Amino acid sequence: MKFSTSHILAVAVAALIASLTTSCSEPEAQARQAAASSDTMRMEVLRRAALANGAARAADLIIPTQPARVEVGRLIFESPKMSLNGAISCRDCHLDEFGSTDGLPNAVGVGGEGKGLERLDSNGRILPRNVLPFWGRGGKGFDTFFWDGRVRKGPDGIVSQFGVKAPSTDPLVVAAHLPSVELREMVEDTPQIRDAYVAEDVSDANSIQRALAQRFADDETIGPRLLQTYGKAKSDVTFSEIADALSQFIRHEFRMRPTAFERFVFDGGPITDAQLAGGILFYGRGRCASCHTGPYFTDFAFHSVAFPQAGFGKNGFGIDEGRYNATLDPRDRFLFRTPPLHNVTRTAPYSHSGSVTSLDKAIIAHFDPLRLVDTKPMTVRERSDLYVRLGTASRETLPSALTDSEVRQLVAFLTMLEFEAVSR
Amino acid sequence: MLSASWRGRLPVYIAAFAAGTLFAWVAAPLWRAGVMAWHQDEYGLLVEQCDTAMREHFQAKQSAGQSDDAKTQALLGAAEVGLIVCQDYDLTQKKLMQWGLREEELSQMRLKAIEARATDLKEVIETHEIQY
Repeated sequence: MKFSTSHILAVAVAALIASLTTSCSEPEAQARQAAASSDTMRMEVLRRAALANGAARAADLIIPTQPARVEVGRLIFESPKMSLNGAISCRDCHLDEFGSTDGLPNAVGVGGEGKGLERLDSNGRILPRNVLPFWGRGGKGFDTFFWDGRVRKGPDGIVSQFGVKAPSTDPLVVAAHLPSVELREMVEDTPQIRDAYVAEDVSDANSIQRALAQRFADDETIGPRLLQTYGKAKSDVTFSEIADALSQFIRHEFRMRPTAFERFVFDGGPITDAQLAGGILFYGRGRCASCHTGPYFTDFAFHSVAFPQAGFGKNGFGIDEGRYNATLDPRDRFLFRTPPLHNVTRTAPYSHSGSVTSLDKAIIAHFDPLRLVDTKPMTVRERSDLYVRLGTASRETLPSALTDSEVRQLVAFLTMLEFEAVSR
Repeated sequence: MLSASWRGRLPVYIAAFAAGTLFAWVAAPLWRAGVMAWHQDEYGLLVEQCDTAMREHFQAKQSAGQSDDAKTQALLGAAEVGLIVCQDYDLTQKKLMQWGLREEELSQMRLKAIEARATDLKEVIETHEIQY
């Protein structure tokens, strides 16, 4: 009798301890999160919030392309002949393994060789901004390009550095005109180039691009396809055809594809508890959707987040005044275009200067930027610049203070925006 | 009339009853104190988050009353979704009640959460005590 009583007691105590600890057991909680959620109320709230904020099916965002032009564009995209006096192709900085970016904080332009760290160490010309991914570029409504929006479609037409001489009414085609004439990006900055081409005049850019167009027309592989596809004689080929082919390729190769989130919103697809919690945060207390809204999860407007600055910056001395460089309007200082979020989990590092190595930290920078910087070793000047960025960022719609666990839930939600490039 | 054997065992029964009563009297508050300590951080965070979400929702409604532009309406929508954290708060509170906590203990936990920053005051006083 005593024996059985002590057994019962032991079992009861064990059950009590087990019941107390299960609610706090991390592996168990993780396993629960990995399974599909059954919280129908929150799932419905998330679906409605997504639709209210412009979620769309990938198929509805695609602008059709012409396969022959796409193939010519692919060859041009991968050709180092795009560089007037160097050897760098578009592909060198837009690699599949880095989610169509280069995986580096600042881009490495002309003179750079290899991938990743090898490229950073190759003495190429450092460009002061993080390479932007291509996902969704050229899709319906994706009309604002680059970190500072220096090419965009306005109510009265294309707004760009071409002024009234924009080479196309398609902003993607206009944007495709720019890298080939950017010093350090695809043009080596030499005294000869400065004497011959560098001036505040579109005609100088045109003369570089005429030379590039002839180079592609003369190319043994690309030339015949280019001439046949566009129905041009060799001497009549202009950079318009080159930019059009590039745009066709980018529009096709990096087009939107269905994601787990699309399947969840429109087809009742599964979602885990962590993703669901992250989605509710995204559209709720995180206030992420106040800027990351619409079908591409961007409002295509310009905002400020007090990210740390990596590298010398567009304005030198570790400063990048962002949108101001395109508009010269003081109200635009330190503003950058809201980044779209598809495949964002694959495009580290983050921010306009690539100063943030993980998505968790990129999210934290939105509401707790001081956590990412050690101000003591900074110079007075660096701290002073930081205060200015903090001031600008503090006027934005800030998220509620989120816990680390909530940040991880947001990251889990963002994995739902991944898709694979499968065009090959 | 109790039998002799019952009379002999009566003190044992009384002692056992007294020990049981004493145990129950001591164990219940101890149990509640344990549950409170175990869940203070979780519940305190939800108290703070729900309070903030309610305040943000109220302010978003105020803003929406003053302006009906898309941005303000979007913020009101976000604030409405944000109120879901109050359901988490409510569910956790009910779970704690299932574990035996009463309104007295819950209000004590809420108070602790609200006054969590009160330790700052002590630090300020200690820092400046020399001035008194």
